[in-house]
Amino acid sequence: MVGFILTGHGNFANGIKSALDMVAGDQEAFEIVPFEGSQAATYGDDLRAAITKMRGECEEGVIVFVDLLGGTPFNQSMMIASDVDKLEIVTGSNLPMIIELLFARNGATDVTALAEQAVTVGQQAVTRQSLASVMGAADEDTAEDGI
Amino acid sequence: MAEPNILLTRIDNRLIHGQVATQWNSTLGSNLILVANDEVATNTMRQNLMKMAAPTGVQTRFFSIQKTIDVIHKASPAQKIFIVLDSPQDALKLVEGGVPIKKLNIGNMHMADGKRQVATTVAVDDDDVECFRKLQEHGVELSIQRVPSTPVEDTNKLFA
Repeated sequence: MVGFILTGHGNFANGIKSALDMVAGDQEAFEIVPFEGSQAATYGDDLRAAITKMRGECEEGVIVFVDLLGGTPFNQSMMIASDVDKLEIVTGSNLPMIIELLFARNGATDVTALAEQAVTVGQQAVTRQSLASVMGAADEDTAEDGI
Repeated sequence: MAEPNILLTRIDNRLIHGQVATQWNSTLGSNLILVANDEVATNTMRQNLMKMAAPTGVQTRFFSIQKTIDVIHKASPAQKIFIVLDSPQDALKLVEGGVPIKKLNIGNMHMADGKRQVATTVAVDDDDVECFRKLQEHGVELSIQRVPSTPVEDTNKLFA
């Protein structure tokens, strides 16, 4: 299985994890590494330890979901990627992206393809909705055969 | 006529929402989510919101309880049906109306005045318990489970 690490500024990772627990329940091969002021000094080491451990348990590879391109969680992840193979970094991580990837990783062996899928899903999930789109008469779904 | 292919029926106050759309439906492999609820059957805004939540390629139906009873046996064998309800009272009406519900998942039943919390996300009153008892007498298999990856909780908690 491809392992997942989720990291970001402040409580970003804890918050996404809490939402995931509610929607999808607890997940295996999924760890968070928060980057908070009080632990800033050891963050790089903590992240490296988490990634290295996960990589040791997941021969297909590991995806690191980070919050912000260019932020410290991203920068640290990229430096770790220079000496850990099969490590993919995805930025701008969001909840729909991770929910879908938790399904997609079942049986997946190509960590790069999985990371590319994360980007597609994450981008598609950002939408604008207006009241007009929910106020009209519902289109009746119908089946040619059945109910 | 062949019996309708009902994969699972779930009681959930919130009907189609994140847990149902992203977790239960994928795990079951259903291609039709049937919301049987008298209020939603007449509320197009709630229907449209739930359609947005439903996964791509999965159809939705919003039928009243009576309409569900009237049409369920016309389902095609290719329709793999996931029925979503908001109360055990509605589940009992469907079963007594001849809808062949075999497995009933109890998901979210919110706390309210006069109810008692019996499981992590399930609160019941005496009438709910009576409905569950009757459903069991009709041979319906009950299980309490929030999402597929969380543990099944002991059904006896309902009757304690």
